Amino acid sequence: MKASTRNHRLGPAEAWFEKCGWKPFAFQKQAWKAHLDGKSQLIHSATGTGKTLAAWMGPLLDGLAHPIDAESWIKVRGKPPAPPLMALWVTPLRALAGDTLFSLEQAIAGMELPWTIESRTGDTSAYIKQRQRQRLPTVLVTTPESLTLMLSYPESSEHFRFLRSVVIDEWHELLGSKRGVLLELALGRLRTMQRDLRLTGLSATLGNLEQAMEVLVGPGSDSPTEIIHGRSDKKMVLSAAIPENIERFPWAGHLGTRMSTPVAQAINNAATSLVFTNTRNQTELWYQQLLQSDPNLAGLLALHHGSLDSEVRRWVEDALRAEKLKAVVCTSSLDLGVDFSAVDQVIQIGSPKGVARLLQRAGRSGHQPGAVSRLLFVPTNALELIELAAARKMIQREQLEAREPVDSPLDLLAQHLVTRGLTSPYHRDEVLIELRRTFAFSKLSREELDWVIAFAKHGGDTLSHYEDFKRLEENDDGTLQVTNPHTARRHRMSIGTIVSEVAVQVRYMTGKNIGTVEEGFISKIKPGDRFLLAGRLLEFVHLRDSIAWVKKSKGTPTTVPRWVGGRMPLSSQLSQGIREQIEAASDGVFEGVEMKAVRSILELQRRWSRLPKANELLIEQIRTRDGYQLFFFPFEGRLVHEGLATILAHRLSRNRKITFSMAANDYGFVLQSASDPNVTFDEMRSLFSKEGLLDDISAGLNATEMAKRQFRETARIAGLIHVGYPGEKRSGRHLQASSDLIFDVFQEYDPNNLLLQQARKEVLRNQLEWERLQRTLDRIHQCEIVWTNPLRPTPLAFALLVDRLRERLSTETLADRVKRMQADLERAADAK
Amino acid sequence: MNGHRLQLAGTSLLLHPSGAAFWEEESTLFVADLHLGKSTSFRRGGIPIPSGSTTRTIDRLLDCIEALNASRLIVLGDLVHARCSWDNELQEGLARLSDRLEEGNFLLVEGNHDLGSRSRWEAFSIQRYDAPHHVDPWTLIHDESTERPKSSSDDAVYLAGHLHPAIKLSRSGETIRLRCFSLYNNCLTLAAFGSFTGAKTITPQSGQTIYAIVDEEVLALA
Repeated sequence: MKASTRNHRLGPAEAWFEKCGWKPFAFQKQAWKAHLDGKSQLIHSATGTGKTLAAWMGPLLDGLAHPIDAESWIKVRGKPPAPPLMALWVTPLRALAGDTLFSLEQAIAGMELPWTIESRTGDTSAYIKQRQRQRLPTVLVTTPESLTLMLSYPESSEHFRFLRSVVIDEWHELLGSKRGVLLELALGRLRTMQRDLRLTGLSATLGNLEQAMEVLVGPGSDSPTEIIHGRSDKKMVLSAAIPENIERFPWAGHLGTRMSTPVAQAINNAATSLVFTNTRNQTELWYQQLLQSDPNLAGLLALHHGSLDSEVRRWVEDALRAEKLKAVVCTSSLDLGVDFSAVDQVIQIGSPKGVARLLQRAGRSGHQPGAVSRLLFVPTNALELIELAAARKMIQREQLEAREPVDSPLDLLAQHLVTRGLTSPYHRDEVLIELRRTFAFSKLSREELDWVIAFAKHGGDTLSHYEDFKRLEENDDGTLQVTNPHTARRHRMSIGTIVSEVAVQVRYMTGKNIGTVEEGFISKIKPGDRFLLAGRLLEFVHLRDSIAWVKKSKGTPTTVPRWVGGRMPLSSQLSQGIREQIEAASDGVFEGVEMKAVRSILELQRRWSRLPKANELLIEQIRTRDGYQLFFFPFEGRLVHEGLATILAHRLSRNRKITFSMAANDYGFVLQSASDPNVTFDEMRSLFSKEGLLDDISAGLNATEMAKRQFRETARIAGLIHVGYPGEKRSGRHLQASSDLIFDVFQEYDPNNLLLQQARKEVLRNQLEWERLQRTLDRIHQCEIVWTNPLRPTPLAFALLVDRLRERLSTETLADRVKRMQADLERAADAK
Repeated sequence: MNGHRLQLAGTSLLLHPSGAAFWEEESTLFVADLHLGKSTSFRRGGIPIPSGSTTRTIDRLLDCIEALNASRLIVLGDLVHARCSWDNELQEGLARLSDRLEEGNFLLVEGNHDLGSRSRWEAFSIQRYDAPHHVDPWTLIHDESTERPKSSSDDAVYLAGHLHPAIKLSRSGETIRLRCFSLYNNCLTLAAFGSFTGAKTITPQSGQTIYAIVDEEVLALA
């Protein structure tokens, strides 16, 4: 069949497209066909290329071709009968549900289907939720949490009886997280209920598309699948704002806003811009700075980040859609979702630290088919220009970052096994089969399952230890279920994996909400202190009823709020790209404007020390006023460098009396000591050995503290933290304990608890990039060590030298530390 | 002997690293906030917390009595965590404690957590008192914020619990949090003694002295 021939199966969709004056893209038709052929699919494409309709017309065409018998339709008084639930649309952001619902509804109307559509998220009113427990619409737009909650009601199997397709929007966002596993578990349940369920994942382009497909349908699934490649002819223009006098520009590590004038110009030269920064603080600072650079932007410039009041955020989003704004300064809070068709330029302040993220951000501009995505990169230091040059290369080679799926999180399993027991009694064997069909738990052992069931049943493997605890109960026939209505109710309240930090509401004395700051920040500031939030300078008045009351203020900020949300380390793709660019520079090759711009700085680096080739590890040793400095440059991202610094410091201090302080950034790390460590070349080589790695890193790090921090999430997900529910009032008071305290109690009285082990494992994975650290050591093993003694700090070393956030590796006892701190305090007091 | 000796109310108190205070002259041990049976009430409330902390707390207290050769024990409130804390582990622990002390030498100044256990004390020969309870030269209370008269002419010396005080020390990026005793305005607040109790970080006022528990020592911080 020729491509131009109208495929009769796709006829109705094509007809509607024609009526709208559109023409379906080849990938859209491919996706529709795949769906009609009964396939599950992963559609990947840049944003704004027609993914939604690629995914959605399939289920609609199927609905036209195979309508549900009228006797199964849902009848409601006062409304025409409608088919039962046939399709689910899962979105990671509940804020997106409204927009999505609107565009899906248009297509339903266009196809003249008698379908109903509603959304169901955490924002849905109790009244509608109650109604939805009686009857569901034909199409439901929902989130992973709400879907899981719906599956926890006994009537769910009846409700989902006619379900045929599930579309998962922004699948890449869920893939690498526990929320993704929550969804995997829900999909596993649905697949058990409906064998021929068709799943469609929508994703941005990723480094591991095959795996993303496998996670979606489950490993070893026999259902047919297809990966649909979206349009790749989307034009993208990447450019960089090159500072005029690059030698005077900070080499590295500076967070200044001195590029604000060219940024303001760029905003004026485009219709509408999104200005992405990497932290909420920078958003606030840049907003101020841009208004100062160009006062005409007042009223046309807004800001948007996760700590602003949701009403403020919604206002900004609406104004952006209505084309009332010239630019919005934002964080990743605008990375996803809502398509703002007016946006024709993205400005990225500072390196996005990953190739895929750069692409995703660029794709937020030029949404209309045929339009061009434009991204202007604004470096915050000179060396960041190398990162853009590296990103270009990697985009050309289509080498993007992978999102690694989460492997068997037992805290979530503990939650799931209770959720599962809310509907009807189940057998271990049946649940094990179902779990192993999900990617996350495909390698789950019978022992692990038994442990988690025991944990949910009586708290652990030793029955006598937990005699009064009961969550999951075992019937005489060996089936498991939850019978206690209090347990059931409390459990439903705690479904999900999102652990919010304690945020304190910031409110004007007059009563209007502005946003939130972290509790830790507010507990440190004093009345009268001034800080920026939502683009306004606020003066802290007092903390009452857990609300930070403020009033408007004039002058300059006296303090800066801190928000959790760590800086992302440089991705391994970008790291590799940088090593290649530097190698090229060492051969005298400077390709592209960015590399030409940093040429003078890199040549300085070569003259003073060396530009390492990709198979070399550069070590620089210098002596400064502060002591002896050993710099290492593996270019592997901050987290790996922190881990390496700890390991090296620990190994070096084992056979000499020495104290090291350490600093790390994305390019390398430094060890500083008061005395000369006198490292020989042979010893240097041996420092990078993989032998005893885990022991050395655990000894060097405050591993317990890190595990404790990680345990906050584990404890919340596994249901160790009491969640009060409305109406419960005081009766829950005596059940409150912090996760830190619970961690200590487990450590002391149940040290083999698998949840503790999981927290430790997650520290390695999330906070140290353990796999990557090991790969780095393997790579260094193949590298030649180049050791130089420059006369002064080189451009690469400079940033590390001025870094004030240094960790210390010390062997003093707690009492010694306290006494030393106390001596300091006394000295300070005497000096007053 | 480990601990910090403090001159107060014309007598001597030894602040012990366990969190107890020992009145040497009268061979009396003061402790506060044991929260015995807390893990049991968690389990009964549907939260899986391992047991063992109640027995551990009792063992530590008996060790303390032994080491200091104390003959009288006065608990400054929150001996038992909640009404639903009562189980075999708790009863057996309290019995061991009660056996170690002569009749009439196990006193409890009632704390807010103890309210649900009133009918239980007699079985363990525990004498219950409302706060404030006077044992010359001390005025014994649980919660200073509610049980101490507001009058300024008040020159009594108070011993209290309830607060679970801790102190945070920081210096160039290094932070340590330590359980502590606090002496302020003629009131000595004891550290929480229980093994499964949290602590609240306090900000010292001027004139407040903090005695921090550092492993096996108690250090005075001005």
